[in-house]
Amino acid sequence: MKELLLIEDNDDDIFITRHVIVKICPDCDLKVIKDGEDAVNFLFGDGANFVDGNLILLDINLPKINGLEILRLLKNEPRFRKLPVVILTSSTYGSDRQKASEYGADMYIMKPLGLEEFEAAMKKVFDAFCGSGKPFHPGT
Amino acid sequence: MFNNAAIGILEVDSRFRIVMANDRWCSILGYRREELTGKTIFDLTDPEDLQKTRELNAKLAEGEIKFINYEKRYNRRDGSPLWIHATVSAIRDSENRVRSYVGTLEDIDARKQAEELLQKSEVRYRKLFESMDEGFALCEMIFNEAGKPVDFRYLEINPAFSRLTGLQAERVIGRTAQEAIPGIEPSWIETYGRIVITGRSERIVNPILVLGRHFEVFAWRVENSMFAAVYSEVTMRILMEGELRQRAEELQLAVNELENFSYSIAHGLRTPLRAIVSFAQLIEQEGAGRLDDRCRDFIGRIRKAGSGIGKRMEELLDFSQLRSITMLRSDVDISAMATEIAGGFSKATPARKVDWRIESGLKTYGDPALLRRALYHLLDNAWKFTSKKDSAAIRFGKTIISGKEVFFIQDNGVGFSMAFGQSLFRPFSRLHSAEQYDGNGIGLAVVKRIIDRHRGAIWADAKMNAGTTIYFSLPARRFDGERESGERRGS
Repeated sequence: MKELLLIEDNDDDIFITRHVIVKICPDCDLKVIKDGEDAVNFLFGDGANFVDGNLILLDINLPKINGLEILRLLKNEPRFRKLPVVILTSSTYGSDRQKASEYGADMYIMKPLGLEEFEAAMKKVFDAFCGSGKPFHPGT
Repeated sequence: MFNNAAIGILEVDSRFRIVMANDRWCSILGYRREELTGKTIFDLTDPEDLQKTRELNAKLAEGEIKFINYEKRYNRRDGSPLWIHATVSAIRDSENRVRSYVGTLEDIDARKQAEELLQKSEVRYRKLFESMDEGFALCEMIFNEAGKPVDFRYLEINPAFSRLTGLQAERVIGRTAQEAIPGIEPSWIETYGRIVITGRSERIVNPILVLGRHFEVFAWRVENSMFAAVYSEVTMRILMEGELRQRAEELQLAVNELENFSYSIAHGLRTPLRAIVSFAQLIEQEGAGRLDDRCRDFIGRIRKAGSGIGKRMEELLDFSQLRSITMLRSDVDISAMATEIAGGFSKATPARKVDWRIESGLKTYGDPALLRRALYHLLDNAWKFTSKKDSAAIRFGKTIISGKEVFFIQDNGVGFSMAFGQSLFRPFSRLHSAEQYDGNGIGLAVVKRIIDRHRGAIWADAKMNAGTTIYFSLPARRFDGERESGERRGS
């Protein structure tokens, strides 16, 4: 069972993302956290073992702690360094993309408007990090 | 020997009539010897010096003086005055009566003229000094025992200095700067000290706050610890510059705010817009069987309208970024660029037959990515607006207009009435309906902004139903002051 953690606060976006993920990967277990602080508490607390073979989908505009800060914390923690983090955002700021790449995001997806386009983008994520039963990240 | 002497020699009788003059004497005054017969030295003396000459010679005759040694003016044969140095001695008989006078004559005209010029120029410079607009001060640096400049003393100032500083000469001359202007900025003393020590002149702009004025000063070392300074007041300029700088900062803030505003609008609207489009699609996919055709059509319209807003927002953001994007310029083969873009259109729609005529070998200088975008929109318009033509022709080339090289893109498409030409380059302005021709009117606005960024010019020429020509020119070389490095935004 593959575990995906979606950190996202907008209910519509959660619904749409879940809809697309279920379509692509019916076996996946999708956990959703809707608050930046809750996400950090989880990852550095109960979810400390949320590492191997898993994947994080991370929004940028989040309450309390924003996605870029979460990314920075994760990538600075040796335990999580190999956990792929995909930024999933509607941010159009060029500086956000730049920072995300600076902090070590494994992929940056600007959420497209249409369902088909979003599905295609998510397929790319699955091909890159969880294709054909491989663990999510290469090298382990 | 008398005739070959290097100085003029003259002998006159007791009544000062010329008896004999040597060659030199004659040549200095330009006379032939026979012309001098019967003339007295007073005949030859310049009227200005006649009285002086008579008096001295009378004294010599009376024996009051032993000889005459003076500078005076003779008139040459042509009447022009000539400065000479003359000595005259009396030759007396045994009864002490004057028998004759012998004089020597030396041409000192060149020296006298130089002296006169010098004197005139001194007067001129003094006048200039007194009347010039710039303040002038001659000063002497004062050093302490350690050789550090601590103050300076005003030796001389001109009236303009008083006018500019409001300090009268008697309050300044002979006093030190700190005595004359208590509270004067130490930076003045430091700067002048440096000039005196290094001997290197400097141009500075500094305030004297106790006088409430700003001065631009050029100062140089005159000799030893003396220096001179020329002042002009620049208070207004400094204030205006400050004002301008503040305005520019405010403007920059406003631009930043506007940019931030458009970003946050775009970002804030994207999420709900995405929900509208996605849920409309979900209804289409999952609820299709439960909807009648009318409702399916409604849902389709919602989705399309949502997508349309999204596209427009992206274009608008893109358009607003064009203003701040950093230009990276190089030589551009614009013919190759046009050929490649045209090839793309023909490949995407092979059914359309368009007669492309692209002049080869045209080069320009600019940001290749931006120019490609501009050219894309121009060719795309030409392609679009010839789509209802049986024999479409699109030309790209270069021509000369008013002596300037100008690129043009010409099509034989639908054209437009020049009455609407003004709005052509405004974003989202359309001259044809969306049903007739695809697009939402951002293309030419993008092109114009790109050409503007290059400091070029763009204009159109068209007739309804008779095709369109768009002209644009680009400066040949880089425009100084344009930023050339830095990151591209929004990449």
